[in-house]
Amino acid sequence: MALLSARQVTKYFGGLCAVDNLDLTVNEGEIFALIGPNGSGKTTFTNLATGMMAPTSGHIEFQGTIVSGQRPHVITQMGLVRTFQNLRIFSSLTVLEHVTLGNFCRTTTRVWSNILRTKQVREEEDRVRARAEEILDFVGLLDRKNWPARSLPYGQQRLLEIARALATDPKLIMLDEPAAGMTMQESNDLIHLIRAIRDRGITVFLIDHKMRLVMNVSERIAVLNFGRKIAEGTPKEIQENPDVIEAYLGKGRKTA
Amino acid sequence: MRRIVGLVLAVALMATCSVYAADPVYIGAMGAITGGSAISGEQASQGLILAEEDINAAGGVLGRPVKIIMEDSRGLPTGGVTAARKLIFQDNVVGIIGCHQSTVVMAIEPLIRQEGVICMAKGSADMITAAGNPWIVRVREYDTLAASAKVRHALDKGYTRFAIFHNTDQFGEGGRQNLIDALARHGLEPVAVEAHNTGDKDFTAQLLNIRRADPEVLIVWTHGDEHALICRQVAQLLPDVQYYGSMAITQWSSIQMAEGTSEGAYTTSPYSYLNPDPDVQAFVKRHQERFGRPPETFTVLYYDSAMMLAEAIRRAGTTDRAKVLEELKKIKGWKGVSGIEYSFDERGEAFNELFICRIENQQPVIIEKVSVN
Amino acid sequence: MAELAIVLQQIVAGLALGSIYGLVALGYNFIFNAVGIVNLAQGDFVMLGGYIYGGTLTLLLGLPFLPALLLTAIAMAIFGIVSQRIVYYPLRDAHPRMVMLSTIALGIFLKNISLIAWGTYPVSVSGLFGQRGLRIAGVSILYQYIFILVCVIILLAIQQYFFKKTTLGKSMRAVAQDRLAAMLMGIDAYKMIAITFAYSSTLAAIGGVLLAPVFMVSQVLANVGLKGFAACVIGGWGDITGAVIGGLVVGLVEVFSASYISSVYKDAIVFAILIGFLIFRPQGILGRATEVSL
Repeated sequence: MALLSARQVTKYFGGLCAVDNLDLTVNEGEIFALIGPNGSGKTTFTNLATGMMAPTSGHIEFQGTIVSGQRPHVITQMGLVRTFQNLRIFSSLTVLEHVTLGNFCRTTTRVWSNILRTKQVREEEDRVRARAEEILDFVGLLDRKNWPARSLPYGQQRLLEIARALATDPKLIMLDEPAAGMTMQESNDLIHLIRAIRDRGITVFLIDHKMRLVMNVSERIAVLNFGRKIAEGTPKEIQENPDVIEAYLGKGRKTA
Repeated sequence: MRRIVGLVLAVALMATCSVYAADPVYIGAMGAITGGSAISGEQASQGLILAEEDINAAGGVLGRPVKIIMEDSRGLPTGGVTAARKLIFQDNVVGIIGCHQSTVVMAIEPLIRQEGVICMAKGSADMITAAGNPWIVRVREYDTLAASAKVRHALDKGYTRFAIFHNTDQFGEGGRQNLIDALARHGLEPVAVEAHNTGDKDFTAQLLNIRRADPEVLIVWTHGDEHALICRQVAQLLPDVQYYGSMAITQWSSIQMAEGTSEGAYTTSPYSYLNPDPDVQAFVKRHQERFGRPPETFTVLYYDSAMMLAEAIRRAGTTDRAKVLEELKKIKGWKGVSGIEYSFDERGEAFNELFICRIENQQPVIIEKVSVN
Repeated sequence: MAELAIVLQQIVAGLALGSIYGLVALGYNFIFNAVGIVNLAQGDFVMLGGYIYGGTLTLLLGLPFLPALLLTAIAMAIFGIVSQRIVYYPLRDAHPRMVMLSTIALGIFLKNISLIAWGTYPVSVSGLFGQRGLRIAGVSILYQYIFILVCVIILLAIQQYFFKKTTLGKSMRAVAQDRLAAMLMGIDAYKMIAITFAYSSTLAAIGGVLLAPVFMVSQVLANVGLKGFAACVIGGWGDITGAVIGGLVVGLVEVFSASYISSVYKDAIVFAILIGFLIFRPQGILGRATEVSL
C-alpha cells in the first residue's frame, strides 16, 4: 500500500530545475532508498516532502493527504519526519531533552496547564520521559542521556537526530545521508538500526550515496539524475541497469 | 458627486472671502512639542491658540487676519534652527515667539540677526540679551533676577547654608552661576553644588552628596519633569531642608506629579493661576473651560507676547520688521494676563518684577511681588 | 554614623534602581531565549504598559490597582502578539539584525503614538504605596521599591522554572536555536514565538505598572530599555539570573559613580562598562551565556 507518493513533482530554483516531473511511490513498511549524484535533487525532494519548501508544480501525498505546501510542524504531526544531512542539534539541550521535545507534538496538554504543571501534565511528562528513554535505549544512547547534546561525538549526534525523529511517533522517517561522517563500525551499526526501525513498523526513506549501505539495506531504490528519475527497482535491478551505471555507478565506484 | 464637491468649494471660498479679503499677517512661534521638554511646547501652543482668536476677534491687524504658526523645536538647537528657517524663509513671519529654551534661542540668534526678524525669546539665560542682538527681546524673567530674588528671600528668613542642584543644560548652568554670584554678593558660598541631566529619573546619589554637606536651603534649578521627581526624592532624603524650586515647580502639572512632596517649597515666578488679579482670573477661567486645566506660565507668556506683537504691528501701521520692533520696544506698563506689567528696557527685557510663591495645599500661593527697579 | 547611613542609602538606591533594570532585562532575555533576537523596543513596551496602566486605566477609567494591572497585562499580551506579526513574522527568514532594526522602528513608532494618545504631560499615578516608605536608622526606602524587588525575584524564579522545567520552555529554547529543526520535530514554532512576544510584553506591562509610581510615565521612561540592555550584556545574554544580577550591577554602578565620580557622566560610565563587557567578556559576568552576534 502506498504511504508516500509524489505526482509529477517539479521544483525550479529560478531557471534551474532541481526536481523534474518526478513520480515516486513509497510503500508502507519498506526500506526505500533515493540515490543519485550530488545535486541530483535528492535533498530538494526531502525538503518538498517535509514542508520546508513548496513544489513549483505537482504534489506529494502522504497517506492519501496532500502534504506539499503544508507547514513543517503539521507534516511532522501527520507522521512524516526527517533528519538532516547537516546536523541540526540544539546545543544547549541535553540528549534526553532532545528526545522528550520530539514527543512534544504528541502531547495533549495546553499552554496554561503546561506552565502550571498540573497533575495531568506531570503524569504525561513521566510517560514522555519513559518513552524517550526507551528510544534512547533503542538507538544506543541511553547511557548518555544527561550529556549536553553538543558534547556527543559526531556519529552519536547523528543517532541523536534519529532518536529525536523517532520520538515524534512517525509512520515514515526520511534519513538524509545518515552515514555521513560515520566510522565504518558506526556505519555497520546503522544498517542494523535502520532494519530495526523498519521492524518497529516505521517505513524508512533513505537518502545516501554510500553504495554499500544503500545496496545492503534497501528493498527498493529509485535513482535521480539532474532531477529526473532514471531508474527504479530492487538493488539487483539497479546495479544492472545500464543507465544507472552510466550516470552514477561508474562514478560512484570510484568514490564509494 | 462632482456637483456637491463644487458646491462645497464655492461655499467655502465665499465664506473665506466674506470674512477676510486680505492675506493674513504671519506670526511665528516655536517650542518643544516633542522631545524631553515637550510639556512646555504644548502649554505655549494653548496660549497661542487663544491669542490668535483674540487678535482676530478684535479685527486682526492692518485690516488683515493674523495667523500664528507654531513650529516644533524639539527643545534642541538643531530643531530650533530648522524651525526658524522654515518660519523665516517659507512663512515670512514678522517675528518669532520663543523658544522657551535658552540653548535653542542662542542657536537661532545668528539667523535672527542676519535676517532681521523679531525674536521674543522665552529662555531665561542671561546671555540671551547679553548677546547684544537688537532683534531679540525677552518676555520672561531672567536668571539673575530670579537668582537674586531667591537668595534675598532665603537670607531674609535667616538661612545661610545653601546647596545648589542644577540641570546640566545651559539653563541650569546659567542658574548655578547666577546663584553663586548672588550668594557672593552677600559674602557667601554654597556648601554643595550638584548636577543632573535632562531625562534623569533617579537623583539619590546627588541628593546624598548634598546631605553630607548639611545645608539649610536647597535651590533646585531645572525643568518640570525632573523637578517633580526631585521634590519626591528630596522629601525622602532631605526632609528637613527648605526647598527653593525653579519656576516650573508652580505649575499645576508639576504639583500634581510631586504628589504633595512640593508642599512648602518656595520659588520665584512670573505667574500664578491663583493670583486674585481679575485680569489673571478671567484668563484662567477661559483656559480652564477650553483646555480643562489652568494655564501654565508659558501659556500666559506666549499669549502676552503674541498680543504685544500684534499691538506693535498695529502701532507701526506696517509689517516692516524694523518699524514693528521699534514700536514693540516702546511698550511700557502693558498689563499681561500673567499679572505682570511689562516694560521693555534698553536691553530688551520686558520683566522688572517677579512674584515669590509658596506651594500651600497643593497650590502656588503668591507671597509677595518683588520689583527690581 | 551619618556617613554610614548615607552609604547604606546609596546601596539601597542602587539595588532599587537595579531591580528595575533587572526587570526590564528579564523581558529582553525572554525573547532572546525563545526567538534568538534582541527586541530593542523592550523599553518602549515598558513605556506603553505604563501609559495603558497609568494614563488610561487608572487616571481615565479610575480602576483600582489589581484590575488595572490585569487589564494592562492582557492588553500588552495582545499587543505583543500583534507586534510580533508586524515586526517579526514578515522578517522571519531574514538575518536577526533585520528584525532588530525593525524593533527599533517599532520603538520610535510607539513613542510617537504615545505622544498622540497620551500627550506630553508625564502621567503620575500613586500605585499601591504612593510616596510612603520605611525609615530605619536614617535610611529611607519607598515601599514601592521593596515591592519591585519582590516582584523581580518572583518573576526571575518563574522564568528560570519555565525555561528549565517545562516542555513549553524547552520547546521555545529549541525554536530559538534552530527554528526549522524545531518545526520538523512537530513544534509549532510560530505559535511559540507568538507566546514569547505575548509573555515578554506582559513582563513589560508589569514593568510599566511598577515603574509608573516612581518614575512617572513619559516618553523618557522608554530609556530604561537602554539600562536593561546593559544589564543583559553584563549578566550575559540568555542567562536569566545573570540578567537580574546585571541589573543590580548597573544600578549600583550608576549610584556610586554618580556619588563619587560624576553625576553628569553616570550614564556614560554605565555604557563604558557595557562596551568593556562586549569587548572583553561577551559571555557576561557569570560566564555561562552563549555569545550573541549583533
